[in-house]
Amino acid sequence: MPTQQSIIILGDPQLVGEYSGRCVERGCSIVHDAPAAFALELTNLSSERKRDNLLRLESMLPPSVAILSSAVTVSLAEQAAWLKHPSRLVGIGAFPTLLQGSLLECVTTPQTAADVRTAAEAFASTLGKSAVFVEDSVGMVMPRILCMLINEAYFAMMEGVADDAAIDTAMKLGTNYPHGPVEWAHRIGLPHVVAVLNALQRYFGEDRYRCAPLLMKAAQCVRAEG
Amino acid sequence: MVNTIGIIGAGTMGSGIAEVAAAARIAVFLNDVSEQALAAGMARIKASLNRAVEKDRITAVAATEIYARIHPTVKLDELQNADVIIEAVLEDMQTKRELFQQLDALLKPEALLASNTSSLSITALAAATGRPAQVVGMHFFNPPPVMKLVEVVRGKFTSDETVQTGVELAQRMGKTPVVCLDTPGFIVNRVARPFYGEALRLLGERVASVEVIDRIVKEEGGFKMGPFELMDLIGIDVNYAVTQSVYEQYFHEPRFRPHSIQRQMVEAGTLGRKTNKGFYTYET
Repeated sequence: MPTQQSIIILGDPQLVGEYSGRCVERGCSIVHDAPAAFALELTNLSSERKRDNLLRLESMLPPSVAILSSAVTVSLAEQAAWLKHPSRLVGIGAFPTLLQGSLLECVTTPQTAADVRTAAEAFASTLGKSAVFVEDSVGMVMPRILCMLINEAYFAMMEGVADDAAIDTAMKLGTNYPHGPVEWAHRIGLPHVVAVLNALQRYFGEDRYRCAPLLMKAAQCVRAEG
Repeated sequence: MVNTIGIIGAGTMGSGIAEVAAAARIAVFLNDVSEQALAAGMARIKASLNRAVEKDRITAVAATEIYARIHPTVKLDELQNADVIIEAVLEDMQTKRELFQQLDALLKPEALLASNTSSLSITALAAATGRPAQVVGMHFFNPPPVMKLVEVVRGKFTSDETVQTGVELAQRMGKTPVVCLDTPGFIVNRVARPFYGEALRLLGERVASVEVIDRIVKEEGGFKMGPFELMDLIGIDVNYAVTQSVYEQYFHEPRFRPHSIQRQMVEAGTLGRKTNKGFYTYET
């Protein structure tokens, strides 16, 4: 395990920002090409961009260099199929606002090499967290539960049940949620929530996961604003 | 100005609401059809007040005053001067409708009829009375002395004035009211469904174990309790019933679909803490 933590970080700007900040705080250096101890690919918003980034990393870095890739909106299995050397790939549950927790969800495929799995555990430790391995599944655990909670809040707003402030207050005081679902959605970034819901709907092929139209429209406003 | 509240049903919720109202210096009549249930309710209140004294939250004198402010009675007639009634009886539409019809005949014309129901339609209850504009939901959370939220539910016929009275009453009782429409599950029981529903799906799909899911939700998500330990605490049967209710009332909207894991546990009698076994096993 290399002691020099030089890391390449690609991905959605919000996640790159969150992770770069934390990595630098914890003593790592961010580099933009080889050599690097390992690479992070943190794209959740676009499967095409993720694939492009992974292929780029593959061409930049020797096969022995691990790639830790967010597996929240694209399963690790699907990503592994894009690569020449899938043994280098391990998945992490990178999702906005979850970096402050003390756990990092991780996933492997049957092809993931043992030392690559270890690299994920070490990375979690570097961030000051523990790695917890779950089965490779779009949404993983926390992003899936959280985005479905947010989705339900938006369905309720769409129906005029109550406004955003009322829903946030109700969920904090009535059932002790750490944050209201709507305010949490804005902190995450609405496009990230929509991306998870769309990915779940595609992965399971179920209406259950369809995004509330109100949420989709609100996310489109965010995108339109830049 | 609400001077007297009548509370019907001396169970956990009814007695808790009575305690909260009395602590807010409102005169309370607590009614139940059963003397036993009434005695148990008053005992519950006394125990709760004693705990508050032990923890230095209120003085012994205050506790005595609060308790004295609650007048228990099996005679519904004694509630006739109430300004507001809050019912917390069996969660059954027929039972509640009949009760509201009785109250409609008994109470003064300006009195409000509030229901603590978590799953029945305020609009439907209102339609059974001669004063639908004065029927409102006041949904407290368990236990009422602790949980600050009250959902004030506006039925289709509920007047703005009634809603406002409900809001002010909740505030006077030291609660934070949130107004919402009369839809299945109101806010909390509806928006919270995925917390359990997705956790059960994850478990059923073998993405992670009970312990790992709870750990992730707490340590990654920052929640106080994980979904499985919370289901054990609330009662797997209670949680299943709420899920079924919202699912049925939304004509089988797939987001609210109950899970076979919870049905199986209810059928097996492993209901959580109250049976010492649920998703976790508890020492006796």
